[in-house]
Amino acid sequence: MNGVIQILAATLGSCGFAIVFQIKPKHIKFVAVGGALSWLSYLLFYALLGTHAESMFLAAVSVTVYSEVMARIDKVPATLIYIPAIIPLIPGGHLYYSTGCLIAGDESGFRTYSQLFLGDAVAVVLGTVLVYTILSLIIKKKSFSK
Amino acid sequence: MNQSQLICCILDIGELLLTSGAEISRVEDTILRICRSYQFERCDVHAINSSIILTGQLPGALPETQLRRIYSFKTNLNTVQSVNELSRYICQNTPDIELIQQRLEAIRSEKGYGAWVMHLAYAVVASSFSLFFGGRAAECLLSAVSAVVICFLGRQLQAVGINKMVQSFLLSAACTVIAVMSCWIIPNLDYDKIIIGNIMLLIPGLAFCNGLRDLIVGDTISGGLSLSEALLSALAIAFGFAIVWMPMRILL
Repeated sequence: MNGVIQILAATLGSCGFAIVFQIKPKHIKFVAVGGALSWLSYLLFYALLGTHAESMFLAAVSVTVYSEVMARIDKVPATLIYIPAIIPLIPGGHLYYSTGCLIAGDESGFRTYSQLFLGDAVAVVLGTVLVYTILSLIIKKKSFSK
Repeated sequence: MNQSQLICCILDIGELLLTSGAEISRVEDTILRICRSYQFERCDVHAINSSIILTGQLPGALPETQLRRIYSFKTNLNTVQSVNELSRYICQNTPDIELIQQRLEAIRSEKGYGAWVMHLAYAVVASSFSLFFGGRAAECLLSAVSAVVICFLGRQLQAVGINKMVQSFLLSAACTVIAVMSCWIIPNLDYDKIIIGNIMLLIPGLAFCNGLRDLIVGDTISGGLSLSEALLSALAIAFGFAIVWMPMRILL
């Protein structure tokens, strides 16, 4: 039940960010599915693997693949779908808590949250870069810039 | 075709992409493709968050370098898409400079969502992330109210043209004030859950991750700049929280 609420909240949050970033209404349905997919896939991978960072990484991989596929279907740049859809995976909360602990002088809190933040950020970014790299190898022939 | 004007026009395209939040690699790639389609014999482009340098040489002309300094950013993915379409068109048809300028002007003057929709979107984002992090109905509602105030204040500050760090600091202080005040008035509220929804709107988590991505992909300077800016901005937000929360904690 908790997971369902989180997925719904992630979907709404992604759609809200899509509007903040001025994405046109006709593309928002792709963003909504992407936002739901990001948290759904995290929860699924977490249920399967039981490890947080690996699940983040795999969720980022699925969102990036999804946005690349949808970008080709909807004929838009992949960033248009990727940026709002990845937002539920971005560890903004950890970043906020770690800087908060830093300022309050809470050393152990800072250590915990900054580790969580950096771990999540690296996992998400590596997942994205992995997909980009594989894609660029596949579609190299089409690219203008040699 | 005039080489200086053409290079300037191509830089306009790059500038619009970069200021609307396109990745560095997309900006460089777009500029290179356009230059190739105009038969530039030589073209070198270097883009970072704060500037684009382009050297081009048309057949029979001397090489020429122009620099474009970038000052402000405003993420607008609709503009990124429109410029992307335009650059595809340019690569296929190599139109005159006047036509490109007209199209660019049309994209710049395109109307986005109005103020009301923007306030609503802020409220939706804040309440959904408050819910996401375990907030209850009352906290989600207050988070939405606070987000509307933040959206309004943010627009005012932007109109005045205040430095971005100071903006983050002030907005974070404002949302802490609202959260702590509502906890005074209504008992049994968790102020943290109200704040976290708004923090998602302010915290540069996305900028941090994009910077990290640029670093890994090889755009080292841009990545480093984004990372340091994101970290400073996160500190400013934490300061904004602390400056309100510390005196209020003593009063509580």
